[in-house]
Amino acid sequence: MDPSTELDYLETLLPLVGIIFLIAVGVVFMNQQFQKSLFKQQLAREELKNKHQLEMLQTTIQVQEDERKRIAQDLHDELGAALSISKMHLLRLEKLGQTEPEAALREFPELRKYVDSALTSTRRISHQLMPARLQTMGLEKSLVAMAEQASAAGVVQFEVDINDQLTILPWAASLSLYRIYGELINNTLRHARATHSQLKIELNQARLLFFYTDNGQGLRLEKEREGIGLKGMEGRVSALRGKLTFGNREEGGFFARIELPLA
Amino acid sequence: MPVSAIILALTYAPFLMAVPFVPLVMACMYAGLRFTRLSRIHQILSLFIFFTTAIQGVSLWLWLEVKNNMPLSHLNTAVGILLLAWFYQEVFRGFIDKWIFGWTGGLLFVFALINAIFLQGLYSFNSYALMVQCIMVIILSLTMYAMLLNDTVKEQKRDQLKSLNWINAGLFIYFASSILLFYFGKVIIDTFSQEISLYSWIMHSFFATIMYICFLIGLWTHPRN
Repeated sequence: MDPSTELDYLETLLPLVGIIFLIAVGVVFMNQQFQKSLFKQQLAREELKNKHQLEMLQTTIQVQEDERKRIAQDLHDELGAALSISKMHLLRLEKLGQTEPEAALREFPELRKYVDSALTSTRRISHQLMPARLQTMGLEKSLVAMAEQASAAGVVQFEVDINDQLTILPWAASLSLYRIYGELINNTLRHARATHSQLKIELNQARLLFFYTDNGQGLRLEKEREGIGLKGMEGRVSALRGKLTFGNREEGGFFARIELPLA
Repeated sequence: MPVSAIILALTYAPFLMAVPFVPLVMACMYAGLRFTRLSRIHQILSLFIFFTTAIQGVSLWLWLEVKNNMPLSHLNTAVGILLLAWFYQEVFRGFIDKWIFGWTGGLLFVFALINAIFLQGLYSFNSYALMVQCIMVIILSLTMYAMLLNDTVKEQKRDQLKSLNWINAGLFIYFASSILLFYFGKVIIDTFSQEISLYSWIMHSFFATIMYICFLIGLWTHPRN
């Protein structure tokens, strides 16, 4: 090949090689920028996840402490008071029994009343700690009973629609759903100004879908969305490896949707 | 390539040169009808399609009138660089800093203008500016392919994935296929016969048709809100 042809060949080839090199360098540079940005995003996501987990843990501890405080208050105010009064009556009866036995006998019904009150309080506190009807009736009937009890006040009509037997659920899941429904009913009665509420539970082999709605005013403020009740529910659902979403419905009112895996 | 195919192509050259116009006009009409309901990314692409349709229309008319339509090519390239840089800036939003696209688009636009006025001239083939546009789009489309392989991106752009893949495919196929045509374009025009030059532009029409069909499919499959 003569030199001028070689030069023409190089004049054509070299810029082309340069172009391909430029493209390669450009792609490498852009990918580097992309990887850097992705890494920053992943770090931010991890930080958010850790913050959320910490909040959940704090909420769980707070809920436990609040529960303990409430139990302690109930024990002190109701059971403690009833037992103290019973003790005072017993001391009085001890003295009366020696001097006026007939008068002492007349005091027993009064004493029995206080002991009964103490027993009622014990039973109530015990049921709140571990709902007996859930153990005896099962989740389905307990939810229906809760709805009927709440509806009896006449303010909100609570409905329960369950498409299958819930007997296959493990105890932890049943208890959590029971507590969650109780919390949701409470929220509807206290804040929602609703007239109607519905709970739908659908079950298939892979998952359980728990869908609660009411026709009230929905969640109005940001702080309501982050309220401890909802965070507590989130904690319970997370513990069961489930997913909770909640918010305001398009047609008005509140919704809470829980998906629990059954496998 | 058999000689008979080349002769056939040259015989029907005007028809073949007008073929890309069909999917382009269809894409333009669809984009026009649905413009307000498109996402920002698709709206920017639509602007590119509207501009290209206008330029190609006038350009085709001038070609049929046997008049020099090179100034339109210069304009098309310069504005195309800006619009495509803007398009990719939106695609990569949140993943790559937008200053990269701003600077790239701005500098290449200025280069395209300088090329038109001082380097190659307004009435000659703007191979330099076209090459630069090809390089920019090839880099960005390859980067987009790499980006769309990532799970995080797939999750975030889940509903737009199909549409973006079509649009990016169209851009990549056209610019990667045409880069050599543009590189040798001036040499072909200056050195070879008009027939051979026409043949290379028929190939260019084919690649452009593919691109506009991909745009049409990309717009058609855009996520409905």
